[in-house]
Amino acid sequence: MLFNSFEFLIFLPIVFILYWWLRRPLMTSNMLVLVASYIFYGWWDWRFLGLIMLTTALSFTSGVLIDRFRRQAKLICGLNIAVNIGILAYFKYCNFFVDNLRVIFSQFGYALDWFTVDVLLPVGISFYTFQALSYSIDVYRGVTVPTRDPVAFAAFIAFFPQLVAGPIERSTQLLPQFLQPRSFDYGRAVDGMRQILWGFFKKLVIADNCAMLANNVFEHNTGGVNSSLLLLGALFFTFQIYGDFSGYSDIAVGTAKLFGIRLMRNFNLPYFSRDIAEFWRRWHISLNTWFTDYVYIPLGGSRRGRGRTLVNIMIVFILSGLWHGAAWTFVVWGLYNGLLIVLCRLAGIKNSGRRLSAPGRFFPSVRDAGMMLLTFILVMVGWVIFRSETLTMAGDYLCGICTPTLFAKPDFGALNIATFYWAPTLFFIAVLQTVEWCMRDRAFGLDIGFIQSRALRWGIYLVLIMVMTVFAGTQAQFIYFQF
Amino acid sequence: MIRRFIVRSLIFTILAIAVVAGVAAALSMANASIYDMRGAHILFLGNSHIETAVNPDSLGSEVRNFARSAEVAEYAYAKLRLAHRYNPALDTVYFGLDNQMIYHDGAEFIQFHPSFYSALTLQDYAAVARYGDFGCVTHHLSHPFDIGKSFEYIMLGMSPDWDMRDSRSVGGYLEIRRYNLHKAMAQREKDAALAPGAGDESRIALYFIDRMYEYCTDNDIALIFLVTPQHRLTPYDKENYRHVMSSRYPDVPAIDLMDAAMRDSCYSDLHHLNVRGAAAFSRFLRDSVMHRPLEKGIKVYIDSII
Repeated sequence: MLFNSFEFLIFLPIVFILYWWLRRPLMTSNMLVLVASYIFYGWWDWRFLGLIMLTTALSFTSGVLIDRFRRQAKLICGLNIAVNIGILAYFKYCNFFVDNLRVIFSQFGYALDWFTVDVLLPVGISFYTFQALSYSIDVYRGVTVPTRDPVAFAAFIAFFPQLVAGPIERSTQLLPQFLQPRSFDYGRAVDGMRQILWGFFKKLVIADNCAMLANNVFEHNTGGVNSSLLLLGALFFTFQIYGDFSGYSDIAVGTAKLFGIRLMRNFNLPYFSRDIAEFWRRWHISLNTWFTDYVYIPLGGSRRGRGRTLVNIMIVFILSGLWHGAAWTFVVWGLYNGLLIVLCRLAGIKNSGRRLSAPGRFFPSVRDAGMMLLTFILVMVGWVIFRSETLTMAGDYLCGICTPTLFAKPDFGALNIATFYWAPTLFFIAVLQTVEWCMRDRAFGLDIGFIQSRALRWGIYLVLIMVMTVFAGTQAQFIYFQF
Repeated sequence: MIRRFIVRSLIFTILAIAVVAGVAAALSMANASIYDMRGAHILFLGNSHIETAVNPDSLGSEVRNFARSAEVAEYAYAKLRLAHRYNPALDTVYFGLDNQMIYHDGAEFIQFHPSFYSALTLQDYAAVARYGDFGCVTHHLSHPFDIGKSFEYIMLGMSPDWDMRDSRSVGGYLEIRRYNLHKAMAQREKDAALAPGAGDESRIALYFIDRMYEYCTDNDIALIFLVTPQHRLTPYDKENYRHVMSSRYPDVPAIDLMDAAMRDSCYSDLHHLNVRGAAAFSRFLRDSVMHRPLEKGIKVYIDSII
């Protein structure tokens, strides 16, 4: 079920009312969350519910066994990781592996045409698998007390707002919330509604409109499209992926608030970062902290000398690229980001503070603004690699940008793109960036609870709804579902 | 607390619906003439094949092209009725009946203008229910009240030159300048082993084509099927729609140019003519087709234009 679907519009109020009506005992409440989550997921394809149940059962059992057989904890945890990664690898990487095997064998004159597989990728498998893995690793490390409540645990794995596209929650943060009674908090629920509205704005107005434009440009990047249009195409994709994914996260976090559950912040104004390392601390935070905690630090982190630190960074980013998809473009994208961070480290560039630029002022310093622009351009280059179907296409696209026509007027007419489509999209990108910059000290762009006048607040909501209904694009699917 | 939250949410929802629907109604209804049918009595309907091939500007002021990409028969039927309502002088309809049209029974990404509802009769709604294609009717509800085009009405008010083609959800001539034929041909060569797309005709598509036929018959409107030139590599199985044309609509004249392959430079891809092809094809329509009345039931298969 998609957040931006008619079904969800019906589903959410029903689950919300039932949830608070049946909030006692805790078991009933958790059971309702679980059933609702399975309906939410099964709406897409009920056959893959078995996979979630299997992952849930494996991780739950491993937690119990690790607790009971401490001496074999490493073995049990390792087995659980191997099986879960095995399932993920089969569904996500089997096609990729077979295709590459075929190419390699064909280089030596062997045709493997008989060897074909066509595995359907279950939605959100990377997200819930990583969440389940974090639990058993945390239990093994003694960070989390293993739960004996299978319903609460299953609800933790399958909690529908974040099931298919994150944030990837930790057992230390989310699981305890399912183990204690929740109480309704009016302020938090209203806050959740605001965040949902803001998420929909990002998705429907920014991402969906950018998607139409970016798809058009990327599809025709070779025949007679001038460089300035290619650059705009890259810009549109840059905001498509941000609007899409951060919009989803906002809707997820907002929806969870309605149920009295706190989810972690997944995006923190990444396009205002001053260097690439800062960008990765602000983009898809839940995945990057996951890799930091469960891959980077166990590899030694930055404790084993400079050389090893840089190798560890590269390993993490290559894995992060592979996590996004089974294609060489993702691997190279990960490599590219890893290299940028390594270069930053070598050059001694480090904006390690969590705070954004210009605290207490409206405008950033010239240096910070320059760094933001440079980082944004580097990120955009990365997104071109990410978006392209093959490395050759990515190379062609990037080369296509670097021609004298970069300074010409973008030729939208060549792709039959009417002014109606691109002009408002650019305008709303500017609005989004301005609002987010102005609200940078708050949790999200529409966090306007501080405005005393209800009429003004409601007026702002209505304007936003009007904008959404007038300018909503037509692409429905969220990009990150495929990961 | 929760009761207060639900009550306030409901109040806000009602208020939002009222405001949005009110603005939508005001904007949509203010522009009642979404069909500029003044002085027109010849109408082209169909999918993108017609949309990109027929340039009404070169056919005279009495001609309109309201074909639209991925058009389905129910929309074409609704447009016919509305166009006739706006201009009872309408006397000829060229309708693009090809495989795409008779198999295509879902309007998954088409904006359905609210005024189209008024064009369907109860009998049509019953058919929609019977054939299970409510998606085409409810589709636009995914974006509440389908006022997604209202912006264009505002822009039109500010600038008469604003392109209203999409805002009306009725389509119109689409000029294609891009040239992707070589890419499409390469893809086609790659897919050559695949069987051409044949299957069962869509029941709802046939129902609404029947309804167009009935409507035209009842209102003395000449209905003519028109199939635009397709590239020689087009993978269509021609027998399907030709069988439908001759067996189901024996009385309806047809001009079938599927085999009239034009030069490669006239195509945007395998299925669509580009601006050059459209100019040549429109000229051909004007000079060789439209000026002479077609006899009832005659099927003309043309295999060469230029």
